[in-house]
Amino acid sequence: MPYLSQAERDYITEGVQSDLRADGRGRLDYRALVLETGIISQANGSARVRLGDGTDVLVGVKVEIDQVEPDADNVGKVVCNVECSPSASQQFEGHGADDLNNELTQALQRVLGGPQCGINFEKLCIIKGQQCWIVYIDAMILDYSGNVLDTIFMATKAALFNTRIPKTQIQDLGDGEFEFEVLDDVEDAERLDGIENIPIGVTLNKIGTGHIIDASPLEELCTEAKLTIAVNKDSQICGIQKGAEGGIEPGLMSEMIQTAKRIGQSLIQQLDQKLQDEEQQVDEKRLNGENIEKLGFFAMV
Amino acid sequence: MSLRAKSFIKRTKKGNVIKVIKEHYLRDDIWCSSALCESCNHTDALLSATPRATESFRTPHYIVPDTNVFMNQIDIMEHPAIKDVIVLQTVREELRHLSMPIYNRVNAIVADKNKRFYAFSNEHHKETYIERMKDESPNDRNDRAIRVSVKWYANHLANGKKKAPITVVMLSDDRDNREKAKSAAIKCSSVRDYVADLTDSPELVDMVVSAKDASEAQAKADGKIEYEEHLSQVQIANGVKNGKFSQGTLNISGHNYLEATVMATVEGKQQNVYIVGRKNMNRSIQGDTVAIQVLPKSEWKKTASVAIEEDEDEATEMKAESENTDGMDVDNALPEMPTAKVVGIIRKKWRPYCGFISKKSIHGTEGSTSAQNVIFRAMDRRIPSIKIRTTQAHTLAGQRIVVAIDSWPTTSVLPLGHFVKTLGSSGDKETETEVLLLEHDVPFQEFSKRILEDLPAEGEDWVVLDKHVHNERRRDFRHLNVCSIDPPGCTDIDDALHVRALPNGNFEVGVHIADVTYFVKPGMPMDEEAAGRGTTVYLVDKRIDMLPSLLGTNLCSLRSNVERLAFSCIWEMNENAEIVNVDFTKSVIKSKFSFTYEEAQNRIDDDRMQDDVTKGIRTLNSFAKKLKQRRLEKGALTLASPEVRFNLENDSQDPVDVELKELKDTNALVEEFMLLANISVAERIYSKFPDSALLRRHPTPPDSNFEELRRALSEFNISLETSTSKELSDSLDRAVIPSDPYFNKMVRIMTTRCMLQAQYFSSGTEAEQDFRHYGLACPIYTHFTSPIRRYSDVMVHRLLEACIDADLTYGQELTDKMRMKELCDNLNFRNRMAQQAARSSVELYTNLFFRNKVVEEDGHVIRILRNGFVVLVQK
Repeated sequence: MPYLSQAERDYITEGVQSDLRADGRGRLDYRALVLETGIISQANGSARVRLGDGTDVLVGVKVEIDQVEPDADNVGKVVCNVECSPSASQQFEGHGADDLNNELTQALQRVLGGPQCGINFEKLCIIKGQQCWIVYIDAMILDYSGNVLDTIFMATKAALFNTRIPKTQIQDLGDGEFEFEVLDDVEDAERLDGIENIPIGVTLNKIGTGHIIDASPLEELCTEAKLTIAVNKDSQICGIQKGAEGGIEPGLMSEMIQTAKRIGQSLIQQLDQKLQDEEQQVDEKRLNGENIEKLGFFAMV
Repeated sequence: MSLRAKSFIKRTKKGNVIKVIKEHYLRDDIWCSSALCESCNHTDALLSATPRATESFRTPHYIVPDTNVFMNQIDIMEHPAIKDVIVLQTVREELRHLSMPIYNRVNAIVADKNKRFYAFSNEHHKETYIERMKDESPNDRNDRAIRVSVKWYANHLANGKKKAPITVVMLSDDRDNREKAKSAAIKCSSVRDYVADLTDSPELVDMVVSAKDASEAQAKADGKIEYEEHLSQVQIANGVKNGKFSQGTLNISGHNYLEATVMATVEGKQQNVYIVGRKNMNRSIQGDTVAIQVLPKSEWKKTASVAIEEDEDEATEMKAESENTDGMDVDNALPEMPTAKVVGIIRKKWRPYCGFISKKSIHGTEGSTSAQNVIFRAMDRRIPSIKIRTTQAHTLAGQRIVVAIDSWPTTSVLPLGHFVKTLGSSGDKETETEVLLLEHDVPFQEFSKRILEDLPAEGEDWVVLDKHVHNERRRDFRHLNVCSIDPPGCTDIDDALHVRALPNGNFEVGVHIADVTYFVKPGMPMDEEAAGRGTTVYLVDKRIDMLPSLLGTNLCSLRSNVERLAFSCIWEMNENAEIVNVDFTKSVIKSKFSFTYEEAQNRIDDDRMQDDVTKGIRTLNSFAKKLKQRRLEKGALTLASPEVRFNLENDSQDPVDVELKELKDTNALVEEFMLLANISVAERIYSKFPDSALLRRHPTPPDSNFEELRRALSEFNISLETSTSKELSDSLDRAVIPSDPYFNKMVRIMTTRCMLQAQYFSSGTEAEQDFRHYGLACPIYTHFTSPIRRYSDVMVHRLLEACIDADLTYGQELTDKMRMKELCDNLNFRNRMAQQAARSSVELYTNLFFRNKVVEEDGHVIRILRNGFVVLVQK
């Protein structure tokens, strides 16, 4: 880990104290972000989020058919994986990113792997006792400039919004046997059920006595303790994860949770609005039979 | 150029799904191909400057049919009257998904420059490509794409600096599509309305496929259901998988079209399952792959005659048919046979059928042209009668016509079809020959220009050059006394022989086979055509060649006194005709004589002839006899089949006399050495290509095949042992009735009919003990000796060449056992068809010969049917 000089550390801590951060933001200000969905044509759903001038996350969602688990034969699964590109930061070279990959993968899987994520897992089952869909969420960190977990959550929510699962038709073979057929038309593919309830993560970094959101890399180095809170659109808490070595007093903790709920809700609202706007634009173009062109990596803040 | 992408979802074999994205580049350099257009840069415009104009569309126009027009009215599109048509890529791609045969037929029309069908790549054209809109079904999108292209053509042609007004007309039988087109100011018409205007080809109206849904709905409303619904493909697939149903090919009895058999696995045993009656056949047609369900034992067929009466009752309304109910074997000793019904058709084998209109079904006065339903009877008696609607019933009576089946709804006793074309009047030799070629699927069109380009450029002047002798490892046999022995009038001489004494007292015997593979290289269009044809087909009055005649009758043919390339099989034999050594080599020969069987026989018999050639033939003859003796001892069968020869009148080619073919010693001479060569070659190629050698086997016939014959013979106290070919051969030798010299021959003829067909196969696909050739009683066999008229031999030549020439490079075609298997399947099919066509041709000439003629001859009854019998006449 790169080290921070005491002077720098003090500068940042003092700044947080007086609600003025190195880049001019207040404690609870988010950096501007760019988001675009549907940029990986081969995936069932995808999104790219670029936060500020640095953190860049690409999420691809792929769905596959597999046998159901014997002990849960009427539900599908969500499997998450996060990987940091070695080119994103010097620290990620070689095996440098292994721990971070694990940590981020775990954090995402804990929130999205269970019913708290809001996805209707039963709808992912194709034939009870036989096959189900497995939703693979693969996040790639292309560039690193702090607050990567929140960015991943946001990109994941956007990618899942963009995801369409091929439609299946179940055929009764008689004798209680069923077989299904996958319709080849992408138009027939359907959105995941419960997509609107997917939470996003809000990470609060405790620096000195104050806490901030959307920390930059330097601020992350000053962080004594951090708390990532997964919140859904109804301000329900879907997961909490504590990070870094320092402690948080109960009073501060509940304050932090309240902050996270408030900010999370407003973020979700804005995110949903933007996603819907984008979709509407795409639909309008499609209605007129126009070609849809994606900005992809030309999109900048 | 701009890039678009389209995507679809595909399920992999493993069961997973993948999203497939195809990139799609749009171009601005796809020409309209109209001869009138000046703005496009095409050089060879396909669409004429003066297309047809009709009553309804008075501007000359090109036609743009939609997908369903091709799907349903392909026969009309193939009609010569339909020209200047634009085939859109959208339409072609839809066809490819819907029906491969139709797609191929459309491609064939497009390839025919005279038809002036232009394949327009509208999906790649910048101005005619459209994105699929949201909530638009793929069908709607394609219909829209067609309309957009038609519109583009209309505007494009109108805007060009034109010499004459010209436009486009869309053909569609979809009313909705036509409405939309009209509102976009696109000229359009239904097929029926359009062809009604083509007064110069009135038959086109008959060829329009009837709107089936209307009549079907009517019949359904009347509650007239004749057949059970077929099960869905999925139900069938599952039923076959879990053993509830069996799958097999429907084979309808030639004597009774209401009885069929399917070879299927029932009760764990591969056996023939009977399907009796129209209801149980449930609209399946000869050759269809069907799913069958075995009926309960109580309904199993016990005797044939009971089954048919039952069915006659049902079919009383179809008078024309019940009288056609041919006889059944009166054979009560048969045990119960497994009987089944058809629950679904897995693959339809519908094809156009040749036949005639049943005169009885024609109503109305002579010359009336009002449309009426008539019954069409196919030449192939296994095909049910077909109901067609025609305005030319009276003109078509007495004609041979082609009809295609459109549909067979559950409400109709008979399949519904439409008229395709007239071949000519029935009884006419040319017409009937065409009928039998079509019926046996024999490709008989002329060789295309592209194929003829593969022939050597020197043409008839091609000669053997020094380079052939020196550079190609050929042995020079030009000095040897090689001669050929063939039937009179034979022009495609495949084989020639020689023999000479060696210093050590042994003999060198050579069989020389035309070196066809020197001219026909793998991958050439000529090679592909030959592989498709599979064999030369011999009819009574003509020959349908497998290879262009320049090769077959000239450059490859081992004619006398010209130098020819050959593939030789050289044995060293001792005086007992035992092989000491065998060698294969490419060679150059110069045959000294082309004998007929008779000439060769005369030379053997004539003691005055003492020249080297004659002595050689005598040596060969004595060797052949020894070989034959040894073969018979091993159990080879001497079977007989009645082969007739017609003496044709020179000008009219009418048969003036008929005689059975006569066999001479010399026939056997050639045959013996050919067998020997084939066996030697088979051993050699199998040792080098254990997985992909093309071999020929003759399976041991199952005991049940002899049942009938055995019972018949038991009347004469003659027993038939069939467990090995040796025993069969011995018991055939014993089957003699002194008072009837013809009896033994007849038994042999009937034994032939109990045999299974010999087949080509790839050595990798069968177990080695199954390689046996039952009839010849040898463990391994192939065909090597007639490459001019059989493709199998061409392939064997290539295999053998690869065996003897270590430096030769060869491709997958010799080593891939699956490809070899596919080839064998085709060759077996073509062979069977060629045999049947030849037989039908003989039948045709027999009928022509006996037309208006009464001849008295002795005959033997060989089979009794319920209302007829089969007689074998000896002459």
